[in-house]
Amino acid sequence: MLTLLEGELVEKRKWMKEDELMEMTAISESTPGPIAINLATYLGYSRGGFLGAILTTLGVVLPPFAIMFVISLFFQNLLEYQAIQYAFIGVKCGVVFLLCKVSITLIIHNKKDWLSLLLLIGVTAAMVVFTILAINFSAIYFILIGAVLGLLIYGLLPFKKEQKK
Amino acid sequence: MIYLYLFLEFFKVGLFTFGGGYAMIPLIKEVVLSRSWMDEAHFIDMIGLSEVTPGPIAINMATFIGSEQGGFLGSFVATLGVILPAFIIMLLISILLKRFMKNRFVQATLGGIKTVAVALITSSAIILLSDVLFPIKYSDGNFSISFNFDIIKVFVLVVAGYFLIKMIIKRKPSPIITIIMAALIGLVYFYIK
Repeated sequence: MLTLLEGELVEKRKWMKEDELMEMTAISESTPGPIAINLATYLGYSRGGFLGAILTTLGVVLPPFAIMFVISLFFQNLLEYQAIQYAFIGVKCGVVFLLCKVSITLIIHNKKDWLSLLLLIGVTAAMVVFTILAINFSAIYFILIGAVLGLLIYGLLPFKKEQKK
Repeated sequence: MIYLYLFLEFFKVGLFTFGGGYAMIPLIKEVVLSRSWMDEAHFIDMIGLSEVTPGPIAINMATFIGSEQGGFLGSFVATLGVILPAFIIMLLISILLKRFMKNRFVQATLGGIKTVAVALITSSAIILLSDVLFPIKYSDGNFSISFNFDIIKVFVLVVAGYFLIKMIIKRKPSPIITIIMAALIGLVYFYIK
């Protein structure tokens, strides 16, 4: 998606500069919600005000909405065919594989300080155990715990930063 | 009533997801299972479907679940719910506080949240991997594990296929290619068998 955006926004339309796109991508990744929506809203607002923001967001939402809505109407019927069922066993394996690959990449690129490692291992283990034991504990609580610990420990303690020389 | 639930649940998902599509999977899974909107097998099918259709995964999933539960209007409110938090927050950031994001305390808080998001994705990966390949059941203090050997074989073929394609085209196969390949492998495997 990002390469598509770069070609269209930076090179063709010249709506933003390369480094502005990079900065906005970084901000979009740390604000809630789908990254495409964050970027569209920002770009729309900065070039066309509130109306611009609504239009760009609509633009990015409408195509997938229309396509997925149509598919959802006949997906159940489709699943009654033997061939489709077989194909979807493969799809399940593909989904699980992609998810594993993404999580490994994310772990590699994540910070490596003690709080990160503790949160990473602790939350992963807790989620797995809670799921197996069928204990209800919303993932949202873990996000809130992460927010509080991050604020307290990175924000208030004199945490080791990269040394400036 | 279903429309209100769809809107609120997806608003919650949109508000608490940091880092895009995959980070939504644990939260959406929690919602659909606890509301009995889907079982887990159907949920994984839907992720596969969202990977091969264009657009952000979050929008695809909201549209699909909304449509199944409440037709066109359901689909509309679920999608609106999932994009609204992003829209509002991003609007505020563009209007007032671009510098807000650079604040030390905001960065510190996000630092903690990001790691938890990675952990949630990792736990989803582990749980779904186990549920598809070797389901673990727990009841009355006893664990039991079963192996779906056919599915394990298909999984190994999918992984092998992925790296084969990667060698041939000399870059990472996109999720779309991976899912289509996986579908073909499933089809061929079970017909030959």
